[in-house]
Amino acid sequence: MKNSCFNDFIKGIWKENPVLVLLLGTCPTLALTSSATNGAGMGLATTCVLIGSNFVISLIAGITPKKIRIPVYIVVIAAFVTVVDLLMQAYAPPALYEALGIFIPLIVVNCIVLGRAEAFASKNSPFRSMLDGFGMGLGFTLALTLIGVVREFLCSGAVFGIKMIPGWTTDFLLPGAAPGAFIIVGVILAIKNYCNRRAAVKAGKLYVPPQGLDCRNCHICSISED
Amino acid sequence: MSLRDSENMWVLGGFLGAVALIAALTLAWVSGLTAQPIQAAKEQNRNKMLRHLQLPEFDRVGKDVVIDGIDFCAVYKNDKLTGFVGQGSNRQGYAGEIEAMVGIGIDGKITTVQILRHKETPGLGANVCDRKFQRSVTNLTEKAPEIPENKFLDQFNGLETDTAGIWKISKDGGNIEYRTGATVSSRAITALVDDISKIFAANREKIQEASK
Repeated sequence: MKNSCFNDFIKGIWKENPVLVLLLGTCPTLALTSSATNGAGMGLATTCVLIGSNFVISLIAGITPKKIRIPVYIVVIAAFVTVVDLLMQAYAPPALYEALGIFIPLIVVNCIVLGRAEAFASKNSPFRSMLDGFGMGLGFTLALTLIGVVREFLCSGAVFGIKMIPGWTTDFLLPGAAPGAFIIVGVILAIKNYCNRRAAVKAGKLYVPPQGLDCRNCHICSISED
Repeated sequence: MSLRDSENMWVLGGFLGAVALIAALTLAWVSGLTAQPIQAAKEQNRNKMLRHLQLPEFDRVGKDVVIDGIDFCAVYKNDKLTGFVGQGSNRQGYAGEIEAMVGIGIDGKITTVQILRHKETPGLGANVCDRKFQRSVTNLTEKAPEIPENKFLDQFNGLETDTAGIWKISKDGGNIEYRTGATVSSRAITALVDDISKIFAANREKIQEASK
């Protein structure tokens, strides 16, 4: 790697995008992308939590007893989520808080946050962990916004609340509901995989998914072993 | 043995307790810090809604009076009564609770109905709840009206609260035109506005007396 710090940041956006490659956090992905604004809001809230929790967890990882590291991480994450919740109540536009309100506490159990804590922050320096959290959060935000834009446009012909096709009056409901979200996420995944494969073929190589995706390298599965 | 590999129950418990204590103290601090802005944001939201009820101008809102679960208050301009506001909710929506605010003039007629909170389906039930100015590429620079129109909600404007108690959507043989695809939401809002108006008409003197 040419520049490993930069790589820590950039990998979350495309190569290891949490939604489109790691397939983590599918619940908020499906529930909160009915409009582009909601998707972006949820993504940004999760990014704040990720940066904060990754930073603190990488600081205390060295002294945390192995046996209780998961509860300790969850306490740290829950504290950050509550802070974000309070700050949003105080300063975010009421309409945004109203839309995301019940999903904010669910960031605690969003597997992206615990996954990054366990797989990255507990083994790397605070600065690199923050970069990783920022990159992953940004990748999550971009993916949610992309899905939100597609769904909102197919549903009502609007993007970020602005009608792109004047005269589109009847809503097409499938993309706005959860089943439609599944279909759209599937199509986006297919496009992404196709791009990856084509790029690999062009370079004359076989497409190899990132190591973190391989079940043998997954840290979450071995949580109960020690 | 280092802390990291410790298996002593007391050490583990103590460590977890210490982490939880630090987290709790941090939360207490942030909670204290944001208590005022949160209250202010709520207040501001309510005041904004009060301003969007097409009531005559007012500069003071009287004390809240709660009758049968509906929150009433009177509004004043230079200590002269200019109107009333009723706020309440019911759980008859397609997706649970709907909360509405109704402006009532001193002549007893409804000025405007605003839906404060709902979880109705976007594109169906939400259409009879939201007053939303539709931005499109053709009117990007246009200024949004203060109270965007909503054909369903605007039907209540000008109705006499004295005649409340029998308001129903036309499907149930009433006077309010419902919107196709939003029958349940239309029914819920009609029942709610009807309820608020009925209770207001029956208790008008009491409200006026108590909400100074």
